[in-house]
Amino acid sequence: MDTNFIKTPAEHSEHSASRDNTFDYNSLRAREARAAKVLQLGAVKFLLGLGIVLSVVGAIYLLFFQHNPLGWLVAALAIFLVMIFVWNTCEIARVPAGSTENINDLLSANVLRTLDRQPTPQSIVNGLYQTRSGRFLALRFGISPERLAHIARELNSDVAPIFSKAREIWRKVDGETVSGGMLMIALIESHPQHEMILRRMKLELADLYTGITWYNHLHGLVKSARRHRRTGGIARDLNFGYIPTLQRFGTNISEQCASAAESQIRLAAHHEIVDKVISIFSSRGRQNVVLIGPNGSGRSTIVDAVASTLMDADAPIPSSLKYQQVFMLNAASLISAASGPGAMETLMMHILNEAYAAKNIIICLDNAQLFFESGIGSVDISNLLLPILEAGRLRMILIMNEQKFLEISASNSTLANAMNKIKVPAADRNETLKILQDQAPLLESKYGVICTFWSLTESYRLGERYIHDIAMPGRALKLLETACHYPDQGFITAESVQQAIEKTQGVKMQTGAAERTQLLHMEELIHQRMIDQTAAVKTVSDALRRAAVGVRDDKKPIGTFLFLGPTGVGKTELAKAISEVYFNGENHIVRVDLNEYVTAGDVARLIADGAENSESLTARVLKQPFCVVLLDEIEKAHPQVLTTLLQMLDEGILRDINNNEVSFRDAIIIATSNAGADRIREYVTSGMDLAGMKQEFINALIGAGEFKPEFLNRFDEICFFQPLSKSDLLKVVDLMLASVNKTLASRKITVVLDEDAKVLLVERGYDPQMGARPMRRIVQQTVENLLAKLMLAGAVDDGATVHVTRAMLEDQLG
Amino acid sequence: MFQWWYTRGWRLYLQHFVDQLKNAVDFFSVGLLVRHLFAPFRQISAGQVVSSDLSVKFSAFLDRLFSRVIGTIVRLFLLVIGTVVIILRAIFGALVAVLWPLAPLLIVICLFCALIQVRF
Repeated sequence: MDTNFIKTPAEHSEHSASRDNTFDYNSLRAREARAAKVLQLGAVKFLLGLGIVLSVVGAIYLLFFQHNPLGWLVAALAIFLVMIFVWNTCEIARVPAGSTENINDLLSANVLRTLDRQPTPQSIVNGLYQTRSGRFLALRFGISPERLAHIARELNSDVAPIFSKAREIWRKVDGETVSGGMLMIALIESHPQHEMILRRMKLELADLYTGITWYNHLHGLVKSARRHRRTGGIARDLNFGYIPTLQRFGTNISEQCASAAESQIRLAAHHEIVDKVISIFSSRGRQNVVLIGPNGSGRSTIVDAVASTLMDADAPIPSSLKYQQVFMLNAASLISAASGPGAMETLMMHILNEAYAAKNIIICLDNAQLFFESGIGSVDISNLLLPILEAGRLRMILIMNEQKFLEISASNSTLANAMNKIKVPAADRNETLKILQDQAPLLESKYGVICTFWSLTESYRLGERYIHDIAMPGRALKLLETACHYPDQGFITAESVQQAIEKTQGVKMQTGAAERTQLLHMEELIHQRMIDQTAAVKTVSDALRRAAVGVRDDKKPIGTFLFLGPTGVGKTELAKAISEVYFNGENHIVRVDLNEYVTAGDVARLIADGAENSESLTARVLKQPFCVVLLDEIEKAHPQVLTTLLQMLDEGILRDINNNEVSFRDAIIIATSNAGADRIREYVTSGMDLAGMKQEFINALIGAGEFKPEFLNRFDEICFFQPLSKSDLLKVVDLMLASVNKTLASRKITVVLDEDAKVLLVERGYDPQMGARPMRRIVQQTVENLLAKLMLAGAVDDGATVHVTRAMLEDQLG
Repeated sequence: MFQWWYTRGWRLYLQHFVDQLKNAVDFFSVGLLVRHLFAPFRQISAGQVVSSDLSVKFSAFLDRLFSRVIGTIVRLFLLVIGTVVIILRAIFGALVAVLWPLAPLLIVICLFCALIQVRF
């Protein structure tokens, strides 16, 4: 028996798979797709329409006016053309997937119309950029035709594996058909080194799959926008009362939702909240809901979703809720309209009566706390609202944040108990990215740009890190919108988002070539303005270099350092030098003298709200997050103050008095202290190595009760500053002289000091207790005073060089 | 093409036709008009009157009755217009649905008529 004709199950399956992945150029769907390509050309459509009109008119004329049998032939032609017209508009405009998983049944019409009789990877690439989903993916993920063509050239000419991969992707993303985008990913994935290729593009396969889901979502939105929405019709509101006052002071959200397409994505969490709101409104209990969540968490979006659901004739909701309209009241316009005492209550009563009588109104109060507290821009009408909330005869939605709700609960517990609370949590990363994907087309049409995938992920990352006044997804959305002002050749990229953060938050994101050189030579640059302390300078420079290239914990400040040493050895000077070198300016320094915070009560001043005290630490860092925070004389602060600072050192976060987070994650924290200065001096005098004695010294400080161990442990580095020697002070004199010359540079006057003059300055200015601090005074008393006299006497002209001798200085000192 | 004409095309057209009818019913608010045919017009004089005075109650009843009459007239008017439009639309749609399968046959009939008229 010839066994060649008998196939094993494996061979059979292989044969079947190969058949499933073989493109049939003459399949019905492929032919329809190609026919559509021709018939949907504008010119062809015009000719078809013209043919129909002419043939119908001709047939009528010939048959009814001329009684010519030719009219029947023209009528037959007219019917045939009408059939083609219907076929074109109804059938081939949309070629649905076939019933099998054969690639000929799965490929979308857009792809089918571009494929050759014998497709190759290269010919597929040419066609992919003609499909919408292919172009979408290419633009959003930066997949250029050249790059894809390069990948295609390195692939085998057999396209069956590509089609097979495309089918797998189609299954994974649950698509309707295999789109151009899916085929593009399949082509990339077929490359043996696709992971490396994607890594170079800062992408993963999962990101490309997200791109497909993104496209499908937008495609679905376009389709739903085209679909007619049933919202009750022309007689919908005949049943309900007139509401002229409400229309004057409120915004009809339902009307807006009914006229707009369903453009907003419904997150799972939001969907649950919408269901909960509807369930509360359809029950017999209190007909109110208070949405509690941080600003930006999507509370207003939820109200929009509720309004949209209620206006949807096909939504599965109780008939008592159908076509109920949500009106948002604006506190500001109400307060401005109600002038006299009690006028606000009268106006509100009028509005609420109107809403109750109309029978179809849900009142929504955004920033509801404005109606429950007295103050500028707010009015307390809780006495008026409480009975309404308790009785539940008028449906109400209130929006406020957690803090305000707690304040209302504390001041009026009855009011808080009368409300049905629903918490609106901030969105997580996946949810935020979905919302950004949903909103990106709106921004694109508004600003005429294209948002790339990286712009969305970077908006989330940087929004999470730098924007603290609102919650996700609001903060990422806000950042993405700002980034739209910084396009790169029409594209919003990760760099656009970084630029937006730099411009709006004053944060340095990108490290240019100049900055890189500066970082590499940080020690030299610092030593240009301060003497010695090599170990401390190196420690700090290393930490800052690590931070600049991203080798650091993002959840902590850039660096936290404790500088220990006697007065006048350069601790503050180093902080200033770091500010100048790292942040390009000495003004990027937030200095707090902790000797002003010596009682427990001073904590409130340290973390005061910026609106009340603009000089508090939190307020200043909020305004300038990219800075050196210099905490001077930390040993003098009250222990409670130090405890408050622990979270700042540990997590880079400090909460102000209103519990708002202030980020210190882009700050360098430097604390200075004179604690143990005498001991350091003793060690140095006795010739001991400070670095070797570090732990012993720290233990001594803890033992003496100067600092708690948990406080010292929070610092990345503890740097010891040695007392300056006389030779160091000679160098300090040079620095001070350089500073004097810098001030005189505009008049081109140069001061030169003789060596013995410098020695004199050191002898007179040296104080073991005060370090280099008295040196400044001595230079002022001698060199600067002498120079002033010479200049006033006309002895020094512009451009002159003044030689100062020891004798001249001795004269000055008297 | 003819294979499609008798299967998917016809089905698509019927779906489209039913959708159009539903949209027309929604546009003229037929369901709402029928359900609330006798409801007061725009809630005018629809509120409850709390009074022990019979004349006040009677007056309120008359006001409400008047509002209901006005409401009924307006609704009936809209209902009649809506019904006429929907019926016309349904007739046209049904006609197209019936003619749809006959379209290829109509071509043959036209050709046949032309042939007969030429011969006789």
